[in-house]
Amino acid sequence: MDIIIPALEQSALFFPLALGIYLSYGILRTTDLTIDGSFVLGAAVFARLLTGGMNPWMSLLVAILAGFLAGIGVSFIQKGGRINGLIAGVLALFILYSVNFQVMSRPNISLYNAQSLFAPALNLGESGQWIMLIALVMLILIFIAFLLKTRLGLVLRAFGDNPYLLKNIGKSIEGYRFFGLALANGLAACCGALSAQIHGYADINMGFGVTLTGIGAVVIGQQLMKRFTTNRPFSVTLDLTGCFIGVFLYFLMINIFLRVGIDPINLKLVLGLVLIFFLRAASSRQQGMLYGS
Amino acid sequence: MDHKYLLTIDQLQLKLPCMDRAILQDINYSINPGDFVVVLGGNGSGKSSLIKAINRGYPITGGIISFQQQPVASYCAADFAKEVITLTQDTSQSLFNDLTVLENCLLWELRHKHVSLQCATHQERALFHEYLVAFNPQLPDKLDTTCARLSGGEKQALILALCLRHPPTLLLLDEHTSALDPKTAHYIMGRTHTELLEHHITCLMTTHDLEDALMYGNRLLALKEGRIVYQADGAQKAGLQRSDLLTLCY
Repeated sequence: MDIIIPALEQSALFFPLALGIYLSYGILRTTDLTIDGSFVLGAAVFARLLTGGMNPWMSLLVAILAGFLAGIGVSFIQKGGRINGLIAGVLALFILYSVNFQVMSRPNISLYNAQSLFAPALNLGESGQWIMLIALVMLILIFIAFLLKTRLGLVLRAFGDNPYLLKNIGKSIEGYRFFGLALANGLAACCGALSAQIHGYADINMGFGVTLTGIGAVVIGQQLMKRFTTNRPFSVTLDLTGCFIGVFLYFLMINIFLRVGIDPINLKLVLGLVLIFFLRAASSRQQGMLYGS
Repeated sequence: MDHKYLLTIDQLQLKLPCMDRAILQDINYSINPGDFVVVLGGNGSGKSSLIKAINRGYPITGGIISFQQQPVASYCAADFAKEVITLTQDTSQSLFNDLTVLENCLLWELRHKHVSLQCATHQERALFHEYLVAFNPQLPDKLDTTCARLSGGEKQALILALCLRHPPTLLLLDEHTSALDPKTAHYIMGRTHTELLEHHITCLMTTHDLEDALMYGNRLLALKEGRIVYQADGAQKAGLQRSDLLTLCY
């Protein structure tokens, strides 16, 4: 239990970002590394505004908007297909490092003395903030699930499947890339702000590797769902459940590794190896024909 | 002159930066509303490039292509998509392969609609269940199958059904039956022809099938090394024999 509960809490906190990754990597099928930077941007904007005396919920909203802007920025870099999506993400990440520093004006902001986002629930003690966090994450989840069930969600999936055809049907593919990446980065920024609130600080380096973690978790989840349900068409419920299971398993692994005494310095090494295993398993069926003997 | 052509190609030249020879040169041709033009020519003669020049797949380097008295390049994407559809032998260009048959139907509907926050309804499902049966009796039961799992014939029948839901003004066919078995190809070709007549769709079709070239269409055009080498209209085309095509067009 003392492994599962922290893992569940960490998963709930991380889930908005995983949903963002699911949108960009799973639905739009672009690998957007900007997420690393947007995560910090969200935390930075939130922490700066909160310590400046702004209402916590307004600060969260502005942090999410900042994430949207980062997503729009990276779509601009990619616009017209002139710069590869991966490179565009790395570029945006590079730029965001400076931006985040400017926003925070120092490498680390403590929220210890600031008003809390979860102040209304603090009389419930430690669990109060988690209840509020989970409620908030549930709202985000419902919003994304609804979005994916609509015609707009279908078009986003069509973008990932065959952007050329989507263009021939007369739709602006740049517009949908804008929308998808803005949403993904907004979710990442939201996750960054929530993390800053829960951990009590924003740090310029807190985003290192979160995209990779997210992709790993989403892929683990999708792999598992594929094993249990063969040849199913797209299902929002199953996919999003898969996402959560993937995120949960990831944090469960971290907690177990730490418990069995793996040096935290080596944690990324071990997790990296696990991710390589899952990412290879995910693509073996698609590309095995080319490289197989 | 009151006669209004649907499509006029004037002094068309198409050159790709990587090639020293022009792919298409001195193409002058006009298509009336309701025409069915068959385009013949060997591999590399420029047939597919002509289609791509018309559907704006390639930017042309000289001359002008007008559709309904307006240069094709001046159309906005949404308007052009309503008027002109291209089908090729490569079905993956016309389908979202990882999406289901129903989802493909809903997406193709967006040629004529704005993207909304509406969810798929039972009415839409029933509508396509009924609509698709006329094109292929198996398709209605495969509404939830992803397109990648359909057979080649089912895919091409589905594509034909999708593009005729809201008939285009101009249909460009680029060897759309060449990847199919003879029986399915025959069925799809016949079906295409019936629908063209029924909806008064103007059509430009490239093919390597001389039987089809003789049987269908009221006009014929042959390309060789990017230039028009032969054309025949109406009665002249109807009088052509297979041997004529081989000597005149290749």
